[in-house]
Amino acid sequence: MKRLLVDELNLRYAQHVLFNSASLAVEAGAITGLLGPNGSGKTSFFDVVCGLKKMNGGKVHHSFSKLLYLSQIIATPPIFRMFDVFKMMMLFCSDTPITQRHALDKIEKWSPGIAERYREIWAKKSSLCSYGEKRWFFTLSLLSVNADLVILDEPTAGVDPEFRYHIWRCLEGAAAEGVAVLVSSHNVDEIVTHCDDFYMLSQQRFNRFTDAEGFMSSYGGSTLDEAFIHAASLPRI
Amino acid sequence: MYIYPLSKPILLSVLFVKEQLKEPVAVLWIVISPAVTFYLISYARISGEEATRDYASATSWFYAFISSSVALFGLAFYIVGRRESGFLRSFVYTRRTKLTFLVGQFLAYSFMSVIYCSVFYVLTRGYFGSMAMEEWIIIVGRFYMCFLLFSTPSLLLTLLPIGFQNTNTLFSMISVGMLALGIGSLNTSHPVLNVIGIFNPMEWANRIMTMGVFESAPVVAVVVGLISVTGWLVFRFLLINPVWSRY
Repeated sequence: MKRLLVDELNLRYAQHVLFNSASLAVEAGAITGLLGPNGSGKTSFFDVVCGLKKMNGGKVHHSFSKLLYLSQIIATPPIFRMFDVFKMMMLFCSDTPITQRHALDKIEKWSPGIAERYREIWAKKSSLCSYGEKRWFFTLSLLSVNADLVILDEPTAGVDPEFRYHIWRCLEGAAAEGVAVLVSSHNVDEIVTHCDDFYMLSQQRFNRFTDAEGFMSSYGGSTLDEAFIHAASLPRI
Repeated sequence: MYIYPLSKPILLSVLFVKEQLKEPVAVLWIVISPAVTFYLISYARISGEEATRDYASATSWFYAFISSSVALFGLAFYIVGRRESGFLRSFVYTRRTKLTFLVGQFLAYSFMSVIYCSVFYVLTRGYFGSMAMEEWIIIVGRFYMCFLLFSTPSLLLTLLPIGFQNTNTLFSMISVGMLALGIGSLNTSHPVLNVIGIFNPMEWANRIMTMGVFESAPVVAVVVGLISVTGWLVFRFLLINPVWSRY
């Protein structure tokens, strides 16, 4: 089975240690969540996996054929309509031509009833789209590319509940077709609800969980947020 | 299917040109302002002797200046702009996408340079007599070589970790500085200005515009060599993260 394996990762930023012998695995056909407080190194970790940042030690290996990464920053030329943004995105992300039809077929299958909203944004001027609309459009369009490892850095940040619902439906649909999804979020509840497994970034390591109970009992919290706060406030090793 | 990856830079350049043409103010300003300046200078000379001069020598500084503007404020400034807006961070993070982006950007501004040159030719040639296709082709060839000449320093400047506003200021200073030093050295034999002139790309460009591509073979050889090395350097060291970002 295809997988991403991170073994004994060490990463420093100036004098600040982000990761100290951190290990993680992401498997094909699964959604793996990543939780961690602001500044804990989630984006830096994604940058390492994508080769944008060099690590100080350890191994990162994956057997996937096509990796796609949607970073937190999404900037589109304001003068363009979203269909031109789509064309530009596909020129960078896809090895084969991807049409609106292709994208719609996929996302409509994963989350029925979504096509009309997608078409509306498709024709909208980029400068008139809200941040949430852009994130939603980008995430779904990216999922329609034939990638087998998709990394999403907080795809639901700033997105309303309806669009968030469709994003998770599409992530689940893509995973059901064998795509490995690695996704970060600050919303503990959505990670616990939708991910097959998830990691809490605490004490410069990845700690793996598969359910809410395990997460709460491990960090001594009566709610998910409380457990998150406890995990985030643990002293560095 | 094998054609698609190879055609990506061309398809991307079409989108970049479309983006440029949808912002006509910047396009017009780069080409209209030198044309207006040209006519103002000609008008100030009153005698009308400008019209009796050879077209190439009368306009060479203007073409040199426009080509520098296309390289600095088109080709290079848009790379900085795309970096600082986070566009590169979003999509251009592999060797393949960096190559697609850089080739697409270069093709787009190669095309735009021909457009800028042609519009200036149409706006000014009538003052000296009728236009000629053969002359236009020669001038476009010379102009494109000047564009390549200015592309080398312009692209190297994109590797500096400075923000959008500071880049704009730096490019403006360089542009005006090159022009002032070039014109300033015309009627002087001061040794310092002569030495500076050797390293001033604006003087090289002026020489290419007046003498021609084949007649400036040594300069052209240096230009082609430098742009090849620069292309590799920019590909290798292209800054992806915005300067304002902590990453």
